[in-house]
Amino acid sequence: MTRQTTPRSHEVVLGEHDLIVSKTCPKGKITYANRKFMAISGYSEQQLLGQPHNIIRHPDMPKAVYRLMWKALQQGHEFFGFVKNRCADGSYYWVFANVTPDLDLQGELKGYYSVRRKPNLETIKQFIEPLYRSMLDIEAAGQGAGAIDQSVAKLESWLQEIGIDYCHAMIALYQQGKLPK
Amino acid sequence: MVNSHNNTSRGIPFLHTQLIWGSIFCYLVITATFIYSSWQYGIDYWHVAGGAVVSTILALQIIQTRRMLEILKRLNNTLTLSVKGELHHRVNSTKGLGELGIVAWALNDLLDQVESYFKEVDTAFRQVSQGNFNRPPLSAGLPGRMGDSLRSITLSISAMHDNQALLNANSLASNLHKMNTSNLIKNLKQTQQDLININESSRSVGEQSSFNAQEAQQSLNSVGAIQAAINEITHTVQQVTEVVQVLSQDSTQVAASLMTIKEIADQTNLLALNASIEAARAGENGRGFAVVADEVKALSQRTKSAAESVDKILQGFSRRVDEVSSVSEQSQTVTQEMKQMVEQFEARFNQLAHSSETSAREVEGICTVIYHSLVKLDHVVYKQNGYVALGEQDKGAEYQAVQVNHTQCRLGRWYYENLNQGQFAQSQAYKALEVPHKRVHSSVHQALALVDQDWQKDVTVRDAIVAAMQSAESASEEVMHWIDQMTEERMQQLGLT
Ligand SMILES: Cc1cc2nc3c(=O)[nH]c(=O)nc-3n(C[C@H](O)[C@H](O)[C@H](O)COP(=O)(O)O)c2cc1C
Repeated sequence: MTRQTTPRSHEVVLGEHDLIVSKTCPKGKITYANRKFMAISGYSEQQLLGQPHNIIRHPDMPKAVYRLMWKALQQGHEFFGFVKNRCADGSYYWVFANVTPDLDLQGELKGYYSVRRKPNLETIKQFIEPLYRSMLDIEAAGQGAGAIDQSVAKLESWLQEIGIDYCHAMIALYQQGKLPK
Repeated sequence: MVNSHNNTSRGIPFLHTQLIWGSIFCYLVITATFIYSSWQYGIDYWHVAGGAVVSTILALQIIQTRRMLEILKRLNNTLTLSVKGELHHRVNSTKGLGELGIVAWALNDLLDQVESYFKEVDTAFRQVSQGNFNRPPLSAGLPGRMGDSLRSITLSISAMHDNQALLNANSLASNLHKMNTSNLIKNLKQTQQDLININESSRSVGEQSSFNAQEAQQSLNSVGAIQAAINEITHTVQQVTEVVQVLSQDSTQVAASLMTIKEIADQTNLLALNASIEAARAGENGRGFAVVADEVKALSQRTKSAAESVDKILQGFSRRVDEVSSVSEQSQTVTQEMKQMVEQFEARFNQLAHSSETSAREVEGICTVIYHSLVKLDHVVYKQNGYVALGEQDKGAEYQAVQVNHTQCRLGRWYYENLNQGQFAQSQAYKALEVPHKRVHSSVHQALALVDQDWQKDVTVRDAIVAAMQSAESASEEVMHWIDQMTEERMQQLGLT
């Protein structure tokens, strides 16, 4: 399948007002992707619908980030994160993603909803890439769930250093390009 | 939309029904045409082929139309659910449906934007309600009014944040103020209790020391009695000594007289001896004379022996007088010493009585100061209660506490119990106190009555409340002044200034 495509160093950059939207069922299988999603990722609707969302997962992303994401979603919280995704042709694109649970009128979980916006690439170079690289190193060094725990711990110690919670830090990086004092 | 469906579709069959009837009609027409031309011109290859092609095209057309109708149904469903508020439905798999696909994608895009908009607003406000102002709604990617709306929400959240800080500061200040006043009253009440205790104990010290002074006076009286008794003894002893001295002098004189008597007796005896010699010389003539001479001789001898025995007695008497005299001299020195001692004792007692009396007066001075402070403190507590009662929503303990009038509070009770009595009768300050004190109470009552009106809305009511409390404060200042004045007067009376 297309998933086996080797990553390339070519970067696709989002437009200023682009919104990449996708939805999944509660199990994480794609139920909807908007046209921007398809245009940027290079996948067709048929290729996407019913697939697990990791179809666009890039190997440069630390597993710990998704661990945190699923933990937040399961607690009914929203999640923010800078995510590097892979296109069908192996190129990559950075997004600032927001994932939230989708509830029906009775408040029952119907799936998840994700909106991705254009991040500042400078901010990513300055803060996110070094952080993710160090987390990836930890994950590569160890094996199994323990390594992800250590990677999560690494992220948490980074947060402790700057003294704010994860979501607040991510929004500040997205909006101001720097960490709040 | 549900309504418009009802109105516009009344009596008109649905597209789906129209499609079924239309298809049946078409097939009937095709079949009829086929039968007619076969009957008219006979069955040939072209007829069959033509009929088959037309039927196939028609079948494909029907399938495509049914897909379109299916998508229309899903569009309708999605719209209906969106109208109900479920924004998470989308219409996908519309490939190859041309204009209908465009409509579906346009609806999807719209729903993406609307859902994003509401999620942003929802999350941001939920966070705000939990006190987190660091999650503003993100406006990127949302066009026109929606983006503007999120940007102004971001602004208002930051304004709310500032406001929240201000509110917190305010509520802190007002809480602190409340805490302060309630603590102030508590502290004042504690001080009041302390003063009451001090007042009681210094009063009992005062009583003790005036009791001491009385005791000392009484003791002094008994010392006086002792002194009088000693004086009397001294006097008597002196008299005795004098009598003894006189006696001693008399006895010396008596001894001297006895000496003279003895000498006279000796000379008389000598004379009698001479006379009896002369009588013997004169013989008979002198016989009678000799008798007399003998008699005289006997008499002188008896006189001498009597004088000698008196002398012996007197010598014994004189020895005893000497003894008495030395004893009485001794007792005189003893009584003298006693007298000195009693005098010293008396002087010391006098001092004690005096200092007791001074301290009794001083203690009374302290009591006055303390009691007046207590009265003032009670007055301050009354005012504080007034302020708290004004700030309270419900009429609590403080409200009840300030309901008393100027005759029922501690100051009032003290004032009217002592009305024109004792030291107060002449006091100018005491007379001057009544009017301002009455005004303090009436002003506080007036302010409390105003609080029942709609002061939140009416500025004149608020001003009137402040004015009433101001009047209470100025009257209270006068009260304080006159109480101080009374203290001073009393101090002067006690000679303590
Ligand atoms: C609504 C939603 C959107 C997601 N978007 C992405 C995404 O853009 N890229 C990605 O790598 N994973 C995304 N995920 C997470 C994947 O489901 C998956 O957990 C992740 O790619 C990790 O893959 P793994 O479980 O194979 O390690 C998304 C999940 C949900 C529920």
